[in-house]
Amino acid sequence: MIPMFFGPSDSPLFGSLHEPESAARDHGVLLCPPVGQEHVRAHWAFRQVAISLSRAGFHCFRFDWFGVGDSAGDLASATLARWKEDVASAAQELRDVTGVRKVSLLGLRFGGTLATLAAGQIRPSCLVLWDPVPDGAGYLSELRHLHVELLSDPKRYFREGQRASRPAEIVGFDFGADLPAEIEGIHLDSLIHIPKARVCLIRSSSSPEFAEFSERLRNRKLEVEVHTTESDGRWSAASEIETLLLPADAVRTITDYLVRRAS
Amino acid sequence: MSVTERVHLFGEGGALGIVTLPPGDPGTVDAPAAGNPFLVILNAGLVHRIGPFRLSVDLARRLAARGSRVLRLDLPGIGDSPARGGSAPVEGQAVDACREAMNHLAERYGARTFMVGGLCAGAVHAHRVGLADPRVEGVCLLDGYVYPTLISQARRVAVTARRPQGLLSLGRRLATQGAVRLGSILSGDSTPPKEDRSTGEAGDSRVGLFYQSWPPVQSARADIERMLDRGVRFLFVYTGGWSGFNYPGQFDDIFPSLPGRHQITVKYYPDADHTFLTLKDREALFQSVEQFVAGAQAS
Repeated sequence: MIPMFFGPSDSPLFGSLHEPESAARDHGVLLCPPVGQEHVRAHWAFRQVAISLSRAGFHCFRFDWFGVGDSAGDLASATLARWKEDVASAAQELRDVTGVRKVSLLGLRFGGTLATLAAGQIRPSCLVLWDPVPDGAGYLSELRHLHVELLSDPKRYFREGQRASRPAEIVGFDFGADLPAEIEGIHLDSLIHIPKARVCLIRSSSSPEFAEFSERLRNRKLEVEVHTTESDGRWSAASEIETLLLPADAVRTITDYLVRRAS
Repeated sequence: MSVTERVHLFGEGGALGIVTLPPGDPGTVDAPAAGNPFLVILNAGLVHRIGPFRLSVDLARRLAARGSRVLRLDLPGIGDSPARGGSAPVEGQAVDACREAMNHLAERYGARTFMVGGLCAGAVHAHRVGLADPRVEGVCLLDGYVYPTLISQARRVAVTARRPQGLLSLGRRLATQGAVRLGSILSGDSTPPKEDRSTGEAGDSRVGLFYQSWPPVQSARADIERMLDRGVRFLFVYTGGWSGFNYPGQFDDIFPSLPGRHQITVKYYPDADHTFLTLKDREALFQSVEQFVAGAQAS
């Protein structure tokens, strides 16, 4: 694994390149992580996915969004426009460093949403979306509900009572003044304008089905596969926000899919 | 001008760490910042180097903005640092990896002294590194080394009994281990019960990020005394989570009459949780750490 900072010099992004461990394919996979605390929970899972794909011959590049993980900035200063630039910048870095001509995108949760929004620019061979967020308003509403629950969680606090927090504070992060409205503006209509690509939707058993999402993608003549995985983040459960997502089943599903379809 | 960050792979094990440098610091061995203790932040439980709610990133950048060089390190097997083979205990591997990183920082950045800190299991590792390496002159332990006292146990029982299902749960605990524990405490043995707080089970797709296990209190006290004697300063921060620390004077009840007690700062945030969920609690924590570091730089 080769860790690096890349992108704009005044606000660099952090990335990790996993080079192929078997016969190298002319194909890179860009891994787009979730944001906020879901990013913390998914870090190990993404590392395992990257290792598995690199063993299957793919060049894999993990990166952190602006304001997330080891990258510059904070969430309150992030915008959707910046994040879309980040995907493009990371895809270019992957192409420049490895020389691959084909790139696929893998995104988890809001990372899947952002990958989808950036697909028109990157034109991936495959788009693998694991528990993506097709409804920004619903996603934020779920996070805000979780936040309120956490502030009085008797398993979290010895003393009883509801703690106070700032209005923009959501599950441990300051989302700032503008980002929530941008996220809330995302809905299914924003996500179906994907250029010609093979799409794989992977849902945890406790996540809602993506029936409408997959149907609308198929209506646009896209090849869509839907899989269910036992690697379940239980993203809206207060008891889970400090558990690590172990992805064994999802790793198999993702690797099998990309080996089959990323020609 | 903002802080700058560099990524490093340390030692033969290739442990990954991110160094944060103060604004304008060229990162050379003779820059002014090289004279300050290099701060090392270790993993909180199994969370990779950014910390829960990105706490370690925010803390590192704040401390760097005030003139400190900071390393956030992934210990072996955590985050992006590969696990080390062999049969050496995990604790020893963590200490070795941290000291290798410190050696690298000494060579590359001219670091001569260090302050090491961590939350939860990170506190245990920070303590061990401080004990093992004479270059460490400050140790910061967040929810580290908690031992029950009669008062803390009584408060725990009272709070548990007030909660729904608490009495039932309390009854089960007492039936299985309470009598033994009570006897131990009355006989002066404050070794905490072994309690696995990880939530994952075999075949589960998740695993708890936080697990901690403390050595016997007599052993911890001896270690602390040895470091105090060496001139090491300590910051102990305790939260109002379920760590077992639940009243302001508990530290001195656990470690009464410590020689060199004036080298120890104890902060207790009863409304904060174990991982500092809210921005307000994190701000209070950051201010405590900043004061502690500023004190070390001034001395």
